[in-house]
Amino acid sequence: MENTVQYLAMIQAYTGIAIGLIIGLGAFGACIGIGIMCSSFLDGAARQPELIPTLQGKVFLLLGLIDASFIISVGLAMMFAFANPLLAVIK
Amino acid sequence: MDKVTNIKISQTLSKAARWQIIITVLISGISLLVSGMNAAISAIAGGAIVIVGGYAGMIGVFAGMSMARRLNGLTPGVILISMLKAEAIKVLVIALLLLVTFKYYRGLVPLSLIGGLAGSALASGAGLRAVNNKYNENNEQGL
Repeated sequence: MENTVQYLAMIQAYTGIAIGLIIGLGAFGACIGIGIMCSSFLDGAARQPELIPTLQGKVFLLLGLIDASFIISVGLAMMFAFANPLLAVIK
Repeated sequence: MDKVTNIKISQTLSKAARWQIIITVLISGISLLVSGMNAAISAIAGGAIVIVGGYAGMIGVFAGMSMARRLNGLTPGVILISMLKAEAIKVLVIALLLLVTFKYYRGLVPLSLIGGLAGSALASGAGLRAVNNKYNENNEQGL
């Protein structure tokens, strides 16, 4: 019984660290991508202002695509937080 | 500003949403065959969360841009800031909907939900292809 509780606590603790890493690294990558894309957009808009309407549609879509990795990582993190499959080993 | 460059964000997003719905239904069908009705509903919930978040972001972009147009005019910086605000709204809405789904849906199949979510999020890039097609069509017509 005591061992089970100990294992449960260990799994929850390590899962907590994993959730932090999943969200943190996902956000880190998305931030770098968005930073590079936004700087390129500003660069392009400064050089050729007539291209701004074309670029803004693409920027909006690419923002969504870059954020996709972060959104997926948030989903995975929530899966580990609310329906942790690793706890099934204990039960 | 010529016609080639005048491609609306709403058009591109609705093209992307069409692909997102197709992919979500596909993943839902596969989930239904593999693990049953709850898995199919979970996959649809995952896809729907991303689509609703995308539309919430689009409303944010339109609100920000129309406000900026009235106040100062549309500069690249203003466009960028309104898009980043819209992206923040999108992520918040998606996180909130995910939280509600995980907390209150009892028969949830997490892997199906993640599958629907990932498929739908990655399919949003299909809108980019639609933009390029539109651009090429207009170029061929000499607009």
